[in-house]
Amino acid sequence: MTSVTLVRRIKARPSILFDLLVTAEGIARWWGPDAGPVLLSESDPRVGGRFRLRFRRLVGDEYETSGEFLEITPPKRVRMT
Amino acid sequence: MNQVERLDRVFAAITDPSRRAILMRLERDEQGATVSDLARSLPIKLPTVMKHLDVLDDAGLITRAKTGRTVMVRLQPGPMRAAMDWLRRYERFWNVSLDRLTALAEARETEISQTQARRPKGAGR
Repeated sequence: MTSVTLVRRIKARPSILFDLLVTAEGIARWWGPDAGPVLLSESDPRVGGRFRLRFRRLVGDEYETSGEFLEITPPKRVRMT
Repeated sequence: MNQVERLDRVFAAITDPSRRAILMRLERDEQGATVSDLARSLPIKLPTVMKHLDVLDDAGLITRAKTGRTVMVRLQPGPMRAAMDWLRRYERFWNVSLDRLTALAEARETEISQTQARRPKGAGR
């Protein structure tokens, strides 16, 4: 399978990032293509739980994205689709 | 074929090293190459080359033109460009999002560290 890897080194304790990655409020604060508003954010952060996100781009169109949590090991590791 | 199917075929086509070698070989020469040229310049047999050319043709990455007994194969840059555009958009999306994530996390970290520094150790409630 083709894969793309992005690596970021972030100067913050893991628990801060963990919350931003799995909670509905956290995800809504950073996920999106531009500064357009997040219209909906839901998250059920446990293995097999799903998250759903709807946002409006600055050009006006709306996008929805969703996925599943595959692995959650607080505060070190999150794997999601 | 819609755009998503076209992209699927392009990405599937370029996962194979022999097919990438064929594309690289074709890139060298705008005139293209004959099928037997390709078979000669690569360590694969003619029937295998033919099969790979079918896949590349389905993805729109090459065109084949028959003149008499020879088939000329040429690179078709459009679909590859579309695939690159897709990758670039994808990269931009994730970079913008991860920049935001980084800024948020680092700001929160600074906030917490400063609060902790103001409150001396052992003096908490």
